[in-house]
Amino acid sequence: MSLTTNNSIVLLKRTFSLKEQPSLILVLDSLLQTASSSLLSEFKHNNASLNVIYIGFENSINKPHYADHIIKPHQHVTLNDNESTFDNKYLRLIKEIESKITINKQTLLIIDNALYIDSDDLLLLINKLSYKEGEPIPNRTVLTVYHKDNVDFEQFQSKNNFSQMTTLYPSADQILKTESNVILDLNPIIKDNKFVYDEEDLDNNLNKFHIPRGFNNTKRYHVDFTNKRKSGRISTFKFIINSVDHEYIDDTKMLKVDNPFGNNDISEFEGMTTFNLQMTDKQRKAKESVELPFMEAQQFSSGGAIVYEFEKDDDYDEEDPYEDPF
Amino acid sequence: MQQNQDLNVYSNHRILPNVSDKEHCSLYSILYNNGTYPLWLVNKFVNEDSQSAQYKFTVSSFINNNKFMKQNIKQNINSASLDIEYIDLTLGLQATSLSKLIDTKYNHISSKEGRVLILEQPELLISSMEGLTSISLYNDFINKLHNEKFQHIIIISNIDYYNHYINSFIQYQYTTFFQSLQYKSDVVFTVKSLKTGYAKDISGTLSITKGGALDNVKHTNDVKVVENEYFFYVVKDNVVKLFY
Repeated sequence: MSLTTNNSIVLLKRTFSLKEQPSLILVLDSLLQTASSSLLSEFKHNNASLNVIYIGFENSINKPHYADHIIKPHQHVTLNDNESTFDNKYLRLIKEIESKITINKQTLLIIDNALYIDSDDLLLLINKLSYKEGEPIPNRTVLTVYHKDNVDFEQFQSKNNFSQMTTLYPSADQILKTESNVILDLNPIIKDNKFVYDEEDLDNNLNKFHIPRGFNNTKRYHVDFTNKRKSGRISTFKFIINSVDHEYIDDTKMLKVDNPFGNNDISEFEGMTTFNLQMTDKQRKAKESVELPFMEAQQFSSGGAIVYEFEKDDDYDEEDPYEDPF
Repeated sequence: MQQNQDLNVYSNHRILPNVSDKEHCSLYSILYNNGTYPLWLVNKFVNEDSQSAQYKFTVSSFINNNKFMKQNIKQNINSASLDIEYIDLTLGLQATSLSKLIDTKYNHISSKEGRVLILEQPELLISSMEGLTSISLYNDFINKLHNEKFQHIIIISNIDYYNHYINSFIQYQYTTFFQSLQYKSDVVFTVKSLKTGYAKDISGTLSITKGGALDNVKHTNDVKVVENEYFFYVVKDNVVKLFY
């Protein structure tokens, strides 16, 4: 058990340092726990040689300390005209981004946030940034931030049937969730917050757009880390991350199993039995080291085939046992 | 009568963000409902910050004309002389292009250092300018002012327009405007009236919360936003008491 949890932290750190070279990372955040104030700093922290380029649709004023360059898209993107083609809109931005990239250096492009890009342009933009002539560009990762609480206007449109085109097109978060290799989903730890009573109370406040105190806490927040492997296997881990001291705690195994038999927790029976249920460490070790008989037989290593070994008293039978006797 | 508290935003007892850090620009947002009009809070910013004489304030409003703003945002008689300029934007709602609006109203401002813009209800442009999106309102107006003309911006907005249930294009733009504002802000001031309606000695609550923006100030100077909640009582216009 402890082996797997160690692995998850190693995997998280490898992801932050871009050793796994995922091509697209999706970070989901909300008003109460924004990525720009917390998680995004972990990448630079874990890999100081990283060239981080922050494409600040959301924040185009201050260069964050975890970025090497900031690109202010409003200077390069012309969004006024709905009719203009993709190239008209974004070619200047892409050129500006490429001018900040050094080829041999590992680069992270942060797009904060994806909602500023039309969802039908989004995939193309990400593609143009990460592929060249059909090949993925080495040493490059694109990270997009998506605000979970933002109401998707296209979904609203499709509900109201304003336009047939948009109903058929997947929304930005659907596109990003399927295309990304790594998903980091940020959530505040509501239980820790002493200023809100419970989630319902929080929802009431948020519906009136009153933001309670104690959120956007960089010292302790939840991250659901989803990693998609090339084999197609998807694994999800829960972490508590501290972005001030850059500490990661695996929270996956702390999901308590209520059944006392399920997690071998027998402390609940203490004092209720007339016999001793406890085990000392020495006893436990001894118990674990006992080699049970027939363990080998349970491994099915031969894959279920009948293995027949010819012995000296056996007489060899040429007849085919399955032959039709008539 | 309760003891009067001083307004504190940062852990170094300042209200306004530092001017000496030229690289850092801040965005404050003041959110209020109908019935809690918060110009008294702006007055406190202007008058009660210990170094407010270092700043050049510009007051612009889309709903109130210069005459009204001059009456309501002004320096106290006994404080040091302040540099406050008033730029009327009430007719700005008739503008057809945001860049033209900046050019005609803010053309004379050439350096942004130490400049603070108090901007009242820019979201009204969403209603007045046809087809305007909140993205373009930020990109072409607020971000432009913030990048070129003003080091710090204080946005005053009425959140009665916020609604999570979207039923029109304009409603969607308002909602994303407020959400974006929270993501971009360094400090959010929420002025609420009392849930119970009316009390003799309390008008409402003011809560100061950290916004969604990266706390760059804290990172460089180790000064952080002190989240707090005050009661306030409007004794008379411009005389507002804060207490816990």
